[in-house]
Amino acid sequence: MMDTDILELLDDIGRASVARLNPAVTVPGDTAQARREKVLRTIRGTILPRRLEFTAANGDCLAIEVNSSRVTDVFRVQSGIAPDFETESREDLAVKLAQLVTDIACAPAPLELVSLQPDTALEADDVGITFSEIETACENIEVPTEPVISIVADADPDEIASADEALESEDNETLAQRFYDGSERFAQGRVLAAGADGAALQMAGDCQENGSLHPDSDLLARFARDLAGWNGDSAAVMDHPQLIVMRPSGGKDAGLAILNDGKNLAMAVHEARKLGAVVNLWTNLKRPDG
Amino acid sequence: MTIEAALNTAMDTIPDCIAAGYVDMETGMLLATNTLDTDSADVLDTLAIAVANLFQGRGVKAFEELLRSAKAEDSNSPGFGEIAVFSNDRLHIFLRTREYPDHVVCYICHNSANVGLALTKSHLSLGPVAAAV
Repeated sequence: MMDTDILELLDDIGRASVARLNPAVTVPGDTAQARREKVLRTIRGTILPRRLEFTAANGDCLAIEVNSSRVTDVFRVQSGIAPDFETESREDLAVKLAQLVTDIACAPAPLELVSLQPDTALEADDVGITFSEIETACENIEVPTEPVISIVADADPDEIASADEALESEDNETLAQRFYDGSERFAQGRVLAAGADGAALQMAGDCQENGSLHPDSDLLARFARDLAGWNGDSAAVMDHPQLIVMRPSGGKDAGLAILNDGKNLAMAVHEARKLGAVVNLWTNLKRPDG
Repeated sequence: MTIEAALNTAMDTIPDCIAAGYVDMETGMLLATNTLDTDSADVLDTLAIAVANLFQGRGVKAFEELLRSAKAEDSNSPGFGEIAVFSNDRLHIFLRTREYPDHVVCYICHNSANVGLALTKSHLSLGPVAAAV
């Protein structure tokens, strides 16, 4: 890039920058489910002691103290009584915290977050409830589906059908699918699997049934669980999509490239010397016009 | 030489490297770090816990075994020892040391880094870093 280009970019950034007038940041997410994940992620990403205040558009507020990805106290809740960390069991606390997190995520958007210094110093016995405990408890609490309202004026049934087909085709064309398709030219074997349980969606090359690199459903399920563990533990610092390349020490034997788009996993077994092609495909897919 | 000094030396040679850490996967603890900013230190803390899923997961080991069994001429392949993760605008490189298989060296680079050079240089740094443990 030329120096003048950089100066122009800096100039543009300078002109477009707006000073923050208050310490609140908006928790992104169009749906309650997405906001709940972001709230959990915020807890997971809070290492130093902080007081986090989540405030919904209707004024509902959840104020918690977090330290080392653990909730150590609750100061304010939307309604009812805040859980008592001194008398209640860990299981009960985890369930109540999960409900509080879900409630604030379900409150009207936008959801704002303010991160403040805690009022008091942490005490040695403030172990708190871990992010994982709350996340697990959240899995048992269903987030209400938000109503989707469509207004269609005298639409032609054929148009509706073609619009549905277009949406379906867009959904099918995930990044993992595109990586799976694009890796055909360099991969010895390819697998497209569901990220949730590792169920195989497509297989090709040596990974096909009876191929020398065919992974059975049990292997894929275990592999998906490993990646889910990685996602859960690294969620605070890693986003999707991700490209994960696994190679033997020294990088001389076959490697495994996995594209995880958050929904599906595309896996490609490739020769060591094809790593450049893997990275090129990833770079191309990540481009705005990719 | 201390581990921190070895990591510091390694960072000087790895392109666009902004953080390095030495992780004990058995405990998920960082035994040493060298970072250019505090954010990266937090990231290393998180990755130290997470990385065992990739190196020690049962599914990953099963995939290693599958690749090993398909490669008839070399059944002594040690399995996955290097893992690179591309996410956001970062390249994360994890390398298992030969001397201590439960230990992993982690480097974080900007994604502008030359990937091949970053992998090569980080691999070359393994010996001195492991020797400093």
